[in-house]
Amino acid sequence: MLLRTNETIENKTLKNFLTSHQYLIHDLQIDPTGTILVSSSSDNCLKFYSNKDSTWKETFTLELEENTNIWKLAWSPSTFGSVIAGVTFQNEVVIISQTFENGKLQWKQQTTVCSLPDSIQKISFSPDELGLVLGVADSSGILHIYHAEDPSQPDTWQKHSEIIVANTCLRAFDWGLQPNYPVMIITAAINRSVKIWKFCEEGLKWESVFNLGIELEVYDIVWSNFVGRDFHLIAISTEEALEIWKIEKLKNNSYQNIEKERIAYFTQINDSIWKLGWNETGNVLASTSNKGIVKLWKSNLLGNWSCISTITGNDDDDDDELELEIEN
Amino acid sequence: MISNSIPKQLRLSVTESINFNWEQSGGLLLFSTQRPILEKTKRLSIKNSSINQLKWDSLILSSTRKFYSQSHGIFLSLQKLSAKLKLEKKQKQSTILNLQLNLNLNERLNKFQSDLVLISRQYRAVLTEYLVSLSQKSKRDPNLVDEANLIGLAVMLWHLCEIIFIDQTVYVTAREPLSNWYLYHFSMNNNSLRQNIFQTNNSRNDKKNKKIQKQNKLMKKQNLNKIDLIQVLQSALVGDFEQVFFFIEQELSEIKKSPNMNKSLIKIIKFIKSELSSCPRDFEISNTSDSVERLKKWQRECQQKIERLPEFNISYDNSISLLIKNWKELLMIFAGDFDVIRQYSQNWIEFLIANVLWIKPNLTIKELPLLVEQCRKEFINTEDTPTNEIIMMILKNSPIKVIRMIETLIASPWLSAHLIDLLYHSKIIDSQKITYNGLDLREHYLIEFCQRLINCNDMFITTSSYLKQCKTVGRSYIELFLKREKINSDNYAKKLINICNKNDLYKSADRIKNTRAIQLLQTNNNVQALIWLISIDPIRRKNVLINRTVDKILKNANDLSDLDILVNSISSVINEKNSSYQSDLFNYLSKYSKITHLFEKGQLQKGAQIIVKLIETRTLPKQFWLTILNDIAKLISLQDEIIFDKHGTFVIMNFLEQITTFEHERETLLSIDNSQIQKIRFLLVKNLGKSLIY
Repeated sequence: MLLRTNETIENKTLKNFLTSHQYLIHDLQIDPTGTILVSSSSDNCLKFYSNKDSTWKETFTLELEENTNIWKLAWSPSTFGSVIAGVTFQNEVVIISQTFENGKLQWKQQTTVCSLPDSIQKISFSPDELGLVLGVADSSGILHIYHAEDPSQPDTWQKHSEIIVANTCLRAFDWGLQPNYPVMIITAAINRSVKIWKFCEEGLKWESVFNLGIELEVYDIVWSNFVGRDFHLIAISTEEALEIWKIEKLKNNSYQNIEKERIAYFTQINDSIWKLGWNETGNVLASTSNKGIVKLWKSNLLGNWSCISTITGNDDDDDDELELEIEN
Repeated sequence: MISNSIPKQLRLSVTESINFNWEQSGGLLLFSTQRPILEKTKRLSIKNSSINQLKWDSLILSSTRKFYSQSHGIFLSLQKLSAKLKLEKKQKQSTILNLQLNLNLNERLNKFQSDLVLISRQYRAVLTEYLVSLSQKSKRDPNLVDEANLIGLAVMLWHLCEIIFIDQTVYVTAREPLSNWYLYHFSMNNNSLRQNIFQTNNSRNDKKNKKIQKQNKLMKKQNLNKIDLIQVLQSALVGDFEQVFFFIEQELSEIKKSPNMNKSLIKIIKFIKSELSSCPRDFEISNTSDSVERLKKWQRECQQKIERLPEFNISYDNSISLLIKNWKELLMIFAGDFDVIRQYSQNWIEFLIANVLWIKPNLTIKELPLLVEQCRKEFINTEDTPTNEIIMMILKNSPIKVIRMIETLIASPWLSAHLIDLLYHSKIIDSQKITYNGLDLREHYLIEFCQRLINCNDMFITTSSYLKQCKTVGRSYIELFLKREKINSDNYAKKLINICNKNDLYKSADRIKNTRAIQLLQTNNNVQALIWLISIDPIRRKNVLINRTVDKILKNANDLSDLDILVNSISSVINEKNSSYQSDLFNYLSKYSKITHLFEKGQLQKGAQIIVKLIETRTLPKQFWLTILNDIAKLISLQDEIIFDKHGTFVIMNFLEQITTFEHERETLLSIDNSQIQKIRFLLVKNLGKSLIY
């Protein structure tokens, strides 16, 4: 009797599809419903793909305005329709969304939300509880928050608030949500401070409520979806290790004496993780490192986290011809 | 069936850093990229900008959907049965002195036990049906072979769990159910033959039984190649009488045809045949102890006859000696000879079955764990497969370990979830005592299964039905999964809202309404969008968006008829929730609906009075100034009779002066040119004159 194990035949689970981008893909993002994929590249285009029979097929190419090479993308929550924010190499944040023209919905570059003097490190839309809100972290240590009053109108984007996190580069941030509580943000600056902020309606400002006390440089930080658990899970990649933190859920509207515990610690030797991502239900964590290794992490029934899968790149492949162009 | 194997090691042909993104369906998209955070513009060109899609839940066939629906139906009926029994128990507690009620409850409990067995068999039946379908499809598509094997494994394990955990009250000894289980799942015959055996065991139709038995015989003749005696010895171990008798007949006919037939051999084979014919085979459930006694008696007599039969003790030339030795061993197996049974058992499971059949026929299911240990010791040097380990845990009556091993070794969320649910309702496990991250085990496995199920298209409603049974976190997961549902139509939005309302997820219901409204706004279906927007709970309603939508409608509304459509469409909503609509906008719309109605009836003056009151009380929203002024102008110019009296005309004139004088209010009338304002002024003056005179 053939037994099912955790090993799978390689070809069965891995599909490859070519895009028509002329250059390397900078970023790839899927909308919250999982039906539209968008990719950006230095060819000044965004490519859109739809999901049919579990396969992605290219459906549309949007040529952006001149000098609008987008290197980072983010989708808004599906409540607000299809809205994408993109960061350009000129430190601008642009909005791309669908408009109804000639009897059908078309993708269009709508507006520029902001143009910052310092380089943008990360963008991310907030949970829809706050409305159509976009966070933009820059290298001056400020987290700028922008808000669109009318999601259907691109010209209603304006500055909502900002958090002056540090006077050094703000590397990473993420949104956190617990039902019946204000939306929270966790930030990680290069000066080794990892803080949680909550939004105060009075005064429309953000207040620091909690410090994780991490004394190392943080490269990325991600907050998993809170799906009815008694605690929050936050994954942090530092210069030394990958850490997973468990923070007890908020009770009685109090942010004092919140219990925190580091439940996993994986040392990275001669390598560092630059990106993390939780799956939708927050029980599997993916990471990718400088050495080009993608790993998946999960906990067992006893609560012990371990690496359950590794995906590596093959450096010996001669099929891809790499050309390098550098423009200063 | 969902196979959620996450590959341990994969290699991609890339030369840059790998970036990733999660797919909603539980897969990963991987692509080569450069590190972010570049200070200067750099461009890397590469011949192939490809994306790798890593999926581990991709097998969704039409038969898979059917399987999900069927098993879902069984799952729901089990929950209902269990809930009904709980209710009856509560009633019993409240009237504890009522003996009649107690008696009824005992009957009820017995009935529930038999219902559980029925449900377990229903699960097995749908699994088997799915297995057959997959097996047929795998002949054309080799990718389905793994999945088919997994289902076969699931059927086998489920059957054993049913015997050991669910059905244990029926069987006095382990003999019959275990041997049937082993024969069905591990015999050498093909799938369709096994199916027929299954049908024969369960069918109550005699005619159908006979037909199936005929088919069995035909298939055996067609499918079975020449089997050797060693294989038959192994069949004897597990009580496969049909195989043994078939072989005996085959050998007898061959020997008879042979010119050098050995008379002793023929005599031995005939002797064995007659002995086996008198061997007690089927044990009556109602009278097991007698059946055991009869078997033991037969075994004693058989052993004595073996010792006395001269043909067994004569020495022959080598080949015949060996043959006769094997034939003797065949009979000795049935007679319960330990050494022979041990010699021919290939693994501890076979040895166990043989023990239960021939050495310890009166062994009960409860006594199995000890025998399992003894049998395993006999095969201590042989490596156990993961399947055998799970079988061992089942036989040792360790349901929690079984579930955990199924999760880690087979990775089948469907099997883990449905099995633990059945065991939970059977009171075999108290999953609340064992928790994982705050969830009891049953909920944990149900959630794991739902996370896979939701990745299949159009499975949200089924998934939410499962999640509803998870009291702790089910609701949160429904809320989470709702966010990713693609709402393509009003009907689907309504279905989802219905689910939200049933689960008290009112916020999510409003989110869906908002999403649908925005979708409609994007395609310029403004009236429909407004209907969705105003149906949102006032606490969460976005008045800014509503006002903009109304503006859009008004801009596109060229004549009165467009406004009528708007009012008619939302009038039912306004009427239902009249008291909660405090804003001037909706107040106006409801009044406007009334005004239109009065005008249709010809009650123009009454309608005019309401218009005047709206203007006087300053409750007329800005968006409707132009409309109202145009309406007034039309009424005055088209009607000979006086519609607006002097007071009314004066109010309107005053209003017009105010809105044309103040700059910020004049902006509202930008679309109207001065000549039109002059025209309205003229008409008003004319009307004032008329009203003063008459």
